[in-house]
Amino acid sequence: MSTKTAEFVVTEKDLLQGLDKATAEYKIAALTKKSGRVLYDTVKNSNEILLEYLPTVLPPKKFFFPQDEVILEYTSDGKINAKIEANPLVLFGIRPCDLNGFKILYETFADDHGDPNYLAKVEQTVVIGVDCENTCDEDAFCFKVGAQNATQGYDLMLYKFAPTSYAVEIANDKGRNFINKYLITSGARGDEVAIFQAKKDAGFKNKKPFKNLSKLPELFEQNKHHPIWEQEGDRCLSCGSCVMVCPTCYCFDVTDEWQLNLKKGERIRKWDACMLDHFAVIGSGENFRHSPTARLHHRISRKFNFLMKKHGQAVCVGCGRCVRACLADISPKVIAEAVGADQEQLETI
Amino acid sequence: MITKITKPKVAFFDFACCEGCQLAAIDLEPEQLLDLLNLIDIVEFREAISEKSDSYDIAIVEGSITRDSDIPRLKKIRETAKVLITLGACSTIVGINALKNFQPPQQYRREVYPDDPNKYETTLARAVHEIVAVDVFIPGCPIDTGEFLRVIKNLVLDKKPDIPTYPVCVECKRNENICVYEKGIQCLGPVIRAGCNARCPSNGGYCYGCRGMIPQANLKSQQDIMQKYDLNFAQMREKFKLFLERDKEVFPDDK
Amino acid sequence: MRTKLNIREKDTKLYLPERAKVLKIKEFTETEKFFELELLDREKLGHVPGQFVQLSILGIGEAPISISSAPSNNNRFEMCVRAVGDVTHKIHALHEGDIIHIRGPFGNGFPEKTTERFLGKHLLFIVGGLGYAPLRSLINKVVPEREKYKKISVLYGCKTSKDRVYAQELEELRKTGDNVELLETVDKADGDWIGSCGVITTLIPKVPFDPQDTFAIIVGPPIMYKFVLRSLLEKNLPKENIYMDMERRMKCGVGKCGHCQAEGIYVCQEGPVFNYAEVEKNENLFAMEQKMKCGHGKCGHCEIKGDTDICDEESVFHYAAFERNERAL
Repeated sequence: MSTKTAEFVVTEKDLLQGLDKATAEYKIAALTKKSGRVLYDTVKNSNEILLEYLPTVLPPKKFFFPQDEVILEYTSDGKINAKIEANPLVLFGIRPCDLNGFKILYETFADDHGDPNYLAKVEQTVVIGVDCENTCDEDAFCFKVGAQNATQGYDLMLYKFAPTSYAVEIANDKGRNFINKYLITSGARGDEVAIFQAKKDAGFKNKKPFKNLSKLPELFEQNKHHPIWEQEGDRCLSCGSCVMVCPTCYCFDVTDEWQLNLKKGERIRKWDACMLDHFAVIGSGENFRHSPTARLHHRISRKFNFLMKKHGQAVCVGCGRCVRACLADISPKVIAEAVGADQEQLETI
Repeated sequence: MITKITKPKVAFFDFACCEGCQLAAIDLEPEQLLDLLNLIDIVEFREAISEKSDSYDIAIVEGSITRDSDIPRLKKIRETAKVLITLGACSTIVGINALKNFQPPQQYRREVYPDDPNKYETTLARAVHEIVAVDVFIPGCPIDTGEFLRVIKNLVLDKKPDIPTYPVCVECKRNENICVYEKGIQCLGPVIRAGCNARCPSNGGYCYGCRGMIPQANLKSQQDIMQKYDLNFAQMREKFKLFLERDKEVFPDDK
Repeated sequence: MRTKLNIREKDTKLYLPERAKVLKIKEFTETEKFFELELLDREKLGHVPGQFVQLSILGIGEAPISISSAPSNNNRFEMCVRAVGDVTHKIHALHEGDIIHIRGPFGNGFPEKTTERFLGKHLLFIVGGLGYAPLRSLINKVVPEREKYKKISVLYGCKTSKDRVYAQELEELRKTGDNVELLETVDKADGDWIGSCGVITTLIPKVPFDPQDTFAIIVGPPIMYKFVLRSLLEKNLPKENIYMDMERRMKCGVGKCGHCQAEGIYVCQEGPVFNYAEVEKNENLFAMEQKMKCGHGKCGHCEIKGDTDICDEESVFHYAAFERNERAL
């Protein structure tokens, strides 16, 4: 983005040393490799960090919104306590798709009913983003939904403008304090982001957004009964994989559990998925989205219609994780295209 | 606050099985065992105590029904117990015991007892629910000990035991596993009931289907996927055969 | 923790329930009980009619329950709970004096800007079964000030006379006189029942109304809406004059968990009360019939928890019965 500017420049060596220094105060989580898997996880030393991005199964939302989270603790004699836990964390190397995911989740959890568990974790975390020069693989379609660039969701943003040097954009005081305390930097000349941007522009040269990106909500509204829904829904396994791996899915279930001694109990929220059969069943037994097609329609329409209107951007960030995870090869991109996302001439909407 | 609980009397029974699920049920830390015994009175349990009892509230049944002479015993258990729980794949979906159902009786008799094929009583392997009504199914080969404890605790607390209705994929993704299909291995996870924390795929294996199919499984799509990953129809049937013979959706023509 | 968290005080209590004491319990039917609760940590609930709370039984879970008393200035409120799941069965097992936990109130309900529209108008309450519980908070607000309205008609339908909730109060409502009327019907008449018999839509022709001067407020089981709406629209009631209170699986109550979402609407936030004109295109709100395949209690697709087929002959809101009755109307 041409409007972005970097105040500082940091070398790769100083950056990694800075992260090592910060372990005194923070846990560091970054892209790393563990037992053959590439994932975001905590690292003890910066030499465990992968600097080049490779797709992960789960997005880094798990650090703010874990798979299982205790939200309430109570005892059999009636003591009850809201459990809101957050520890200092540096989340390093988050890419634009996931930063857009962070922005959307933050807007969801920081509304009038602020979610204390999410917000506490955000508050305790320094997010260091790293911009991409290109898409990570064939399945990623961030450029289709305008999510290859991030303007929010990070405290610091790094642009790799030279082989071992990053330009540093400071988004807020949290980022500035982190730099002051841990990173050895030099002043930027001013053209570093532009140099990076030129490389990025070249990488994304033939990767254009949906022609009708801003009109997706209307398109999805008009195409509630498009044959694509049945066509894809018939193949859907209702396995929930797409939801589990999505950086912008935030639905959860809440369960209560006493410990086996029945003295202490917990209320736990855990990831749930609107693609699963039981999701929209109500107390008296009716299921409001009984068919896989209805559930697929709901999930994809959340991304491109229902929630898109609320967040002012596509709520699918094109990270490609659901495409990689779906054994039946169902893709939000294909569905969006089927309802006319890339159609040249739209009839008047 | 917990309303005062009454300790139910619990009895374990086994039919055709390896009794491994009963062992899994008490594969507990000492403290857990004491907590469990504070919740229930175990009155009969061949694996752990020598007492027997004709009076119990909860009957926990492991094993498949493979002999006609098992039926009266099972019916007696059902009549006595207020709640009947199946423990593990053998009693819940028959699983491995049903492999013989694919063969004519004389064939498996000869294979197992070549010298005297008719000496032992044996017939079609069936699940407990095919003979008597079952209140709670605890699936798995073996069962998940945590799930067993939760079911017992919930019964004591008069709460519905929550056995997942979603497939293993959910747990695989939560565990951030690389999909075993990506490693070129076909897995039944997309149509098999979760609750095992994706034990096999998380430890280098694949899902064999021991917890049975989820309700509303999209079998057609599962078959398409397995074909896409180069599994022919016969190989695919073999994968399903191991645990799912009694599932009429998978093997509609079988006995 | 490194520093004190900078989170709004009210947000830290988002999922923290507070104590309420059970003051009074009455048995209404085999499955429904009345509860009067008293908040112990707050001066008043501060609800508007149509809102709900999350009742908590620790170790079991939460269940969304409608508030059935009119807004008040004290810390007491009432509800009618049907025992359908773990939490509601536990609530039924409570005794007077017991402590439970609540969060809320949640939802939009009928705020003043909505109830202002009703002034001077004919109010047509169309209620099925347990739907009387959420609407009672509004009925009990408008009936004492009935002179402010042109007419108040309450149409109440149940499966059998044994399923009526607030039966005693219904008798009082019937005797109110003035401009208040109560019409009742049951799907299946038993020994003592001398009133109408038939589905709820059979009551609608018995209440003449001027469509321009009337507001209908509908609450009932999911299947009811479609047929009631059709009857009302046939009588030219403007869509803007129809309000509906709709149930979903509200879990968090604060627009997060996603369970109650119907298309773009979080029912726990923008509902449970809806103006029909604003939601008529929301297919997911009315997505009931997709489950019914055979229409006569055979295929099992519409079966609820193994005992009721929505479309079965025994059920009030039976699909085929509605179709037949509509032809009869």
